[in-house]
Amino acid sequence: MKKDLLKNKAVVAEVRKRILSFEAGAIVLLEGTRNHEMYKILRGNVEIYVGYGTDKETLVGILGVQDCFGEFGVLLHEPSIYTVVAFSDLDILRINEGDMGDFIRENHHSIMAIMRNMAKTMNIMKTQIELLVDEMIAQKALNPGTIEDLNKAMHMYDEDGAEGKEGEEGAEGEEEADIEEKAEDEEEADSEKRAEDEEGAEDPDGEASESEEKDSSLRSE
Amino acid sequence: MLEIEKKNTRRGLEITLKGSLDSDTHKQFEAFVDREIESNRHLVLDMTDVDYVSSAGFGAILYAQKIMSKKGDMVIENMQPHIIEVMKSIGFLDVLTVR
Repeated sequence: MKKDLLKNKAVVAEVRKRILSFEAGAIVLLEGTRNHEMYKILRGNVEIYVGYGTDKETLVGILGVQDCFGEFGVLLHEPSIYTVVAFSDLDILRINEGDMGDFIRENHHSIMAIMRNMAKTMNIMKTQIELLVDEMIAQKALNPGTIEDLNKAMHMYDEDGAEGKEGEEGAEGEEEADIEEKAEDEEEADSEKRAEDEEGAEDPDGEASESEEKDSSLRSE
Repeated sequence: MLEIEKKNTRRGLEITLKGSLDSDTHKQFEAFVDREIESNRHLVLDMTDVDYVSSAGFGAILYAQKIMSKKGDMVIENMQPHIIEVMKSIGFLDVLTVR
């Protein structure tokens, strides 16, 4: 019993070391910095920005309790793609790569939450891209081809993606049919021209046709 | 384009927005908020006639929320359903009071 209590105390002490606290407004994670840790929000909310502190600063979204951020650092060893700022007073649990194994074992139910959170972050990014595209369309800053490509890319995996893809395939099929038809017309025109040229080469003065006319007129008499 | 009207009522300062809250207009809204809410503890934002909010617009709304959180409260009313959906997907409903 005493052993268990001591073990629990040690675990609690260890976890406490991994809890970081921030005041509202503090920068928790800076875009572009390498940080091989992920964080789980225990209390409070954070704002996610790209271009923080610049003219291009854009608020991407808000995360709250149970949400995670910093996955890029711990999973891909890539610099952070966003800046995280405490919206309110904040407590977060730090999880580094070495802790991931233990964290997964002890918090297997959190893995679904982490995966859900990563999907949520991707959804936030997708929404923001759509908003940005809308705004650029309104300002006529994009050409129609780019808009079409962006829309296709953004909705590739939507529920109606199959219809979208069929629609695309249908449109592509129509284009191919048009091209084929055009090619056939051109080929026909070419072969007619070749036939005319050959005829001209055999009978440059048109004597054969005159002879045909004579024959037909003789027959008619 | 954004039109902003204000009136003081029993509920506090009521700001009615009309038009778009986007990269062209968000600074106008933020400047208005800075000027007008100094002496108010309650802010009501009527978004009935706001048809579009961009990332910059959401940032401006959050700006107002952060100011009001320190001194009182802010409520957003009559937001268009399609804008609420966007707010939901980017986590804004966690930190804003929307009616």
